[in-house]
Amino acid sequence: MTTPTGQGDGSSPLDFIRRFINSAVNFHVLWQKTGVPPGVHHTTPAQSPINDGQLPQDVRALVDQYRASHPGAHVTWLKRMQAVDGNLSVVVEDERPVPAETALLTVSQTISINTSDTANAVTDVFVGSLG
Amino acid sequence: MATFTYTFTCPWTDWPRNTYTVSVGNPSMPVVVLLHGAGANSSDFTNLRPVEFPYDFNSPLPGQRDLGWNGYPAVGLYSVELDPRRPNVQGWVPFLLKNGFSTVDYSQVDNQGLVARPVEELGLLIDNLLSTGLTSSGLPATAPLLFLAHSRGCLIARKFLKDHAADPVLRGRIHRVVLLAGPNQGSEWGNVVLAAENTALGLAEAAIGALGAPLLADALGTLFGAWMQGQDFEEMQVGSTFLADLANGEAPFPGATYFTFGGTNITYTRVRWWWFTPGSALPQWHWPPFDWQVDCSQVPGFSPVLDAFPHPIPEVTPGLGDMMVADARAHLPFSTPQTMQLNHAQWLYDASVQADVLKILTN
Repeated sequence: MTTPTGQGDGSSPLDFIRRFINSAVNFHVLWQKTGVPPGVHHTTPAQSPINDGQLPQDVRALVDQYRASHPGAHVTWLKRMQAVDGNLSVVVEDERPVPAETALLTVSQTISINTSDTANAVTDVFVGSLG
Repeated sequence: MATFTYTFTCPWTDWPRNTYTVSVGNPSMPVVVLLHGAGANSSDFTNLRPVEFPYDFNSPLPGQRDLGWNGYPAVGLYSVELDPRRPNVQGWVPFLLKNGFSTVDYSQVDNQGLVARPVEELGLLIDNLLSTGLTSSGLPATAPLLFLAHSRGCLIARKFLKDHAADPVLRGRIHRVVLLAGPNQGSEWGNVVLAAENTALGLAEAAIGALGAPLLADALGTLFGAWMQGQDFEEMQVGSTFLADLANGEAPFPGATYFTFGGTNITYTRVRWWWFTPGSALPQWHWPPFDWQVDCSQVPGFSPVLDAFPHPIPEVTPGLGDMMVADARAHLPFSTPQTMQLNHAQWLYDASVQADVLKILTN
């Protein structure tokens, strides 16, 4: 288990996982009541299955590394989010909550480009269940 | 509280007049004449230079701060700052008034020049105070006077009292002279030391970058500059002709008891920086996905100021000086000495020194 380090708060990986669970919002359930916000493409995993092939290359490498260090670990992808330039763009999710803390795995990547006439940032977040 | 401002004439074309303020307390109690230090003015006793002086370097550092949810990850340094202003501090004027004393405060001529004109000016002020200011303010014409001086103001008080030791108007009405962090035996501050401190300051600024450099420059530049850029510093150096002449044949003003205070704290302010926590870069299943949080710590190697800087002389050595004046050099052969763990600015607002001085003034 790798502990994030820095000037920071000394939070453990478990602290991050718990914070993740406590702050999680089920957009699928929420939007059934409020409607999907403009500009967001929302589908469910049944409609848009999530698989390793959708992971950004570096993220996939991280997952492979995790699998190598945790033999037998099986990941089922449950949720996917993409934000472009600070706006929510893609959400793949159904009514299932995020997994329990011992089964939760999240991966993400933010890429960006900035020039005198360009500023773009894309963040991808994937939520999986360890089994 | 009633305050009155009076103007008196000075004999200099570049400073033809000055004003002083009488803040009226209990008419049956003495009047305290306040003398500020080098590079300062009367606000040292009232407003305490709110941006610079009362840094709260004793309180625990603040805990983690949540900056809210954002659309982007955050990493690295968020901000640099000095300690905030110490809460609930009061300067000498409000403190003394609260305790019944009337005060006289003013801004001196040549606050970065030689002491000669400020001493002469003090005499003119006292003349005007005794002839006009006291009675026009509703105070007795015979009200006792006390002197409370800070830093270079101590030298002005000593010189004035030495020169007027035989003045029949003053004899018998000055019972207490309180000298706070006066460079009575001089200060070793000099250009070499200033260069060393400025080098350390420059390194600190380079380390904390543009965010913190102006803060440090504001806080310390004015403090050091007030001492080092004026002619007055020549007089305040250890072994100066002025100090030797002043000490030569000096005795307490007849009927007066002198109390000298020296400080041993060189902590002026902490330099604090806020860093994003690792979690600020980890997205969560939330919109926006990034919960920005920052942690506060001291800049290692540069905080607190001046503890983290070089200590080439007692004045800037922990336990020996108050940043500007060494404790051992703040006292006089005929004074009652007292040492307190204060820096050179804390003499202007610290509650413990105010309490101790109050006992002196009321006994």
